[in-house]
Amino acid sequence: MHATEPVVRVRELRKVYALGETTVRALDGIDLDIARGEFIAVMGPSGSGKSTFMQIAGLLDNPTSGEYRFEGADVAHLDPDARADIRSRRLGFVFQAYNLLPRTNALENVELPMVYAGVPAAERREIALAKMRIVGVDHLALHNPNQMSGGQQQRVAIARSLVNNPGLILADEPTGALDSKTSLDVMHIFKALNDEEGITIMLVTHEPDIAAHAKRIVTFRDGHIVDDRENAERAA
Amino acid sequence: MSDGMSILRLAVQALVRNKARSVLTMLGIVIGVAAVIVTVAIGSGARNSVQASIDSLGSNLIVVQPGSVTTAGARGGFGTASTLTPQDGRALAHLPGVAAVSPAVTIRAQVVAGINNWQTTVTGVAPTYSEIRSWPLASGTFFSQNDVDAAAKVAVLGQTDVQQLFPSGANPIGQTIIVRGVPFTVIGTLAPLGQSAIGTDQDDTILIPYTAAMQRITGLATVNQLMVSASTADDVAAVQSEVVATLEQRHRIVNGQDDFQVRNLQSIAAAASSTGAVMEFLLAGVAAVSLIVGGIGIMNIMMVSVTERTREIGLRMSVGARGRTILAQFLAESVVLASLGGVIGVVFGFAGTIAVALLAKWPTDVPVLWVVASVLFSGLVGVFFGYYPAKKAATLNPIEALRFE
Repeated sequence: MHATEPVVRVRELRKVYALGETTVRALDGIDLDIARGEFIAVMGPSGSGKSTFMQIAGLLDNPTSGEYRFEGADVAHLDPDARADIRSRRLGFVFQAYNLLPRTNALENVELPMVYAGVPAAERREIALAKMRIVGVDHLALHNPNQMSGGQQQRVAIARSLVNNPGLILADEPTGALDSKTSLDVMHIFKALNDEEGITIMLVTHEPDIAAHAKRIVTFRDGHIVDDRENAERAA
Repeated sequence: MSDGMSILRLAVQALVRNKARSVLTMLGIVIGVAAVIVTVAIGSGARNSVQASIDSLGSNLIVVQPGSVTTAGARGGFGTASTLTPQDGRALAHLPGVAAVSPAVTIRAQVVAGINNWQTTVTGVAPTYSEIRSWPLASGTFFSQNDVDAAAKVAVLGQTDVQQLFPSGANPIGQTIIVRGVPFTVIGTLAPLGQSAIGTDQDDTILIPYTAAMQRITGLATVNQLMVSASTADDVAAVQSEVVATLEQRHRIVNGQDDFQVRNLQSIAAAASSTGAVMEFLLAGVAAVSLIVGGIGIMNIMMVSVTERTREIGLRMSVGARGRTILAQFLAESVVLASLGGVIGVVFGFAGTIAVALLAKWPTDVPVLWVVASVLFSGLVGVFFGYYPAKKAATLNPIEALRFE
């Protein structure tokens, strides 16, 4: 791995959608580096391009133009299979709606990415339980999602994002469906992962008090980055 | 990338997670295959029993009759010449493909038993006759080769003659009957055969050794018929030409003017096999339609399933599943569903077949080929009808799939 390379390095990144007759410039020339070990919050109103940026950074989509290096490799023009392989090995996702498989216990949910990565079954179980222990849900291993609270489900989802030792975790409004106390718990988990495990985290949110937990806050508006600053008054 | 086993496991997990839906989806295939098995079993059982009755009529049978003689310009018709001998019969018995040969000496006679008498046909035959006609005994024994060699005065009675000559219900075995003044001892009775295809009473007959008929009654060295049975129905044509060649050689016929006539009952066998072909075609049609209906059921549910599980598919993609892995998983789901449905259908089909056999006393026969074919076809139905929904799942855009409400 290129230790000195930034995890994410984008230059002049553009994404243009055709919407009938008109074209929408969701991203209009983004330059951004995310270094290893950063905890960055991407903010902005809806339509600012922050979600599009997360999708491209998370290799769910390709940019229309511009440069994207992920862990040093040029990934701007990969085909869907190659993107899937990188997601499988190097990226972790946490979603607003948790996206756990229904009627499937927490352990099997956490194991899922490793099934697609071809990890042997015994090893999968061991890794999954270890990651669940880190986020404090190992006692829920045999519970199905409908037997868990929203906070517990989101912790299981975080454990799932950790199993492939990702270079980057992308959290898309991870507290959007949670009450403020549970939101705080979840943010503490992210902070701990960043502080203690050194995991690079990119958090997309429109809530300033959630973004306040990050070390760095980038604000998007109309496809441009309008603000990029260190978070001096980090929330506890 | 994940291997076949883990994909199969994922597919089975997904099916187990939706037990009720999986079972309902399978039901179409289960019923389809069970219906095919039961229909084929009943149809094939019926066909076999029809075939058995046709065989008993003698579909393997070749009948040789003497040719015609012309007396003062009047042509006598087949059977009037005296050219066939038991020696001809013995020569034919050694031909390849021949199972058995029996001469037949036919005599119309007023038969007397005590105070009763009855006009009937007395036929002099060999012990192989019972095998050639597939005609079992009701009681007693058939005469043996020793009886033939000794021209023994023994007789086997058809059921009509038993009733007419022994109306009191006395056991005819050991009794004496008189044929044209010659006493014969009854040693056996034939099982009832009923009417022939043209309405004659086949049970109105008495069988005696052909040597006894020739030496003690007709006094002739020739016989009326040679009955040749081929080993299988397929051999009939080959055996028939061998029979013709052998007899032409024995009778020293060079110009093709045969002094005998050879016929077989292949027209009956042909009718039977064309009936069988029609039946098989009909059953194949029923099978195809019911399995296609089941397959459409699978496709329908898989389409619903793909839509319902759009977010799940989006998630699987976002954690690293390739499109073709998703395709393989959904295809595996429908193939597992369809094949399992096929296997369960076979089990139900067997149960239904046994029930029909026991309750309706209907002869059934489950051809293994149909069982294997319907399970394989179910799997194919799964692939065919599962492909479109699976392809739809595999080509979903992960971003849109994750957002799907």
